Amino acid sequence: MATAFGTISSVATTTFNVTGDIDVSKPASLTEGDLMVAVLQIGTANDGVYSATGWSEVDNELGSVSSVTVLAKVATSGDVAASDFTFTPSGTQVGSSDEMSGFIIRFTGNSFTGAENVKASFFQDNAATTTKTFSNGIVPFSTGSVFVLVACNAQSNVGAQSGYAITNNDPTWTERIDYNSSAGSFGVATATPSAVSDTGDSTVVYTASEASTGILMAVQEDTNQTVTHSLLTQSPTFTKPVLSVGTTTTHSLLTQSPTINNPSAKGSAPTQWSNPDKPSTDWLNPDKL
Amino acid sequence: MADVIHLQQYKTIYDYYLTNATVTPKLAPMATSYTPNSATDSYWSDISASMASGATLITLANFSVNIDAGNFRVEFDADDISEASQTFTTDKFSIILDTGTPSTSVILCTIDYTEGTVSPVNGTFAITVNAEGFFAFNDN
Repeated sequence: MATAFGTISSVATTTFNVTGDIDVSKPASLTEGDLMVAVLQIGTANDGVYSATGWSEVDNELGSVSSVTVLAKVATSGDVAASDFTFTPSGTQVGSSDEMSGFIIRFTGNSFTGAENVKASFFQDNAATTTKTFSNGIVPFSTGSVFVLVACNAQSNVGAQSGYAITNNDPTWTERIDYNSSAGSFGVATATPSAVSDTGDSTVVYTASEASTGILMAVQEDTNQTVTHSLLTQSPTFTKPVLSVGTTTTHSLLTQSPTINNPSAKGSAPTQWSNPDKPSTDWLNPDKL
Repeated sequence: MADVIHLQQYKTIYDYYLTNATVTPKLAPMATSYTPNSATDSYWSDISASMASGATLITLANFSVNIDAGNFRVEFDADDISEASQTFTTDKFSIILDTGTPSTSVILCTIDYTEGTVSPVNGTFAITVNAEGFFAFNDN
């Protein structure tokens, strides 16, 4: 069973000074295992994150006109038996006259975990215009998920809302809430993604020129994914050397003549030779004895 | 006469590095916004910010470098991957050799999934590795 929009509660409104929290009614036909996504806003500038027992926060956006919190919970048997759910904002800037409002959407599917099943992106368009453009593009989980586009203002009546759209692969939107009062406004629409790619900006058209915070969400049940890939191959590039063809030449014989350093002859003349007579006939040469 | 790169050098060099550099081959599911640049994306620190939001590095078991004599190439392979309780959106993966320090963990490759963009939602993310491996260097 693919993820599908189920039902949506009516918008609850109150001011902080009544009880300090807000009760939002249970969406119709809630069944154990369904995923509930609560969107709550408060007219506190840059403060006021909501929480509730058993709910996990998907994300929040603290703005100058609206501070918005998105929470999620998988419905239990106790939730099915309940009539409403209580959410409490906290923050040092939360004041007694701050307007609070919120709603809960119910999704059906095979299996949900909680906040992991919700991908949300926020953007504040604080200009006083009627065409609200939100730079809050997301990539949906798959074409089996559900888009939810929310435009909200916690302090003003923005008039009737329409013109829900995303820039890329815009699907057919079904408006679920068009609530506008001085206690806060909500425009909510859902759609089935037609492509698994970046949505680009989203837009909602107001009747009155007011600021707005836009939320684009994708919701999907627990999903396994098995992927494959091709083999990435790389071939080498051979940079061959360039051969240079030489010129054939001749050359002469290289000769080298030695340098001879002649030794200088040095000698002494023999003494003059004499031949004296023997001193006697019986004289013997003593050098020959 | 053919020009070829002799394949054993790849195996010898990679095996030596894998054995002696104390690295762990890991796979990173990457965000759809990531466009790889083979020249400037060199280390994990260059691209770690582009890992798919919610994803973590997945250790590759039995990473190996093998010579495919029949196809005249050296192939880089590992076991199939299966990780439970995963939530992210991805359309490609990168493989790194993790040294424990992102700035020294070299990136080997980035490869697209055949299926395009996929989003496990608190489910099992599995990659069936191609029968020939992740990537290969041909001899020519």
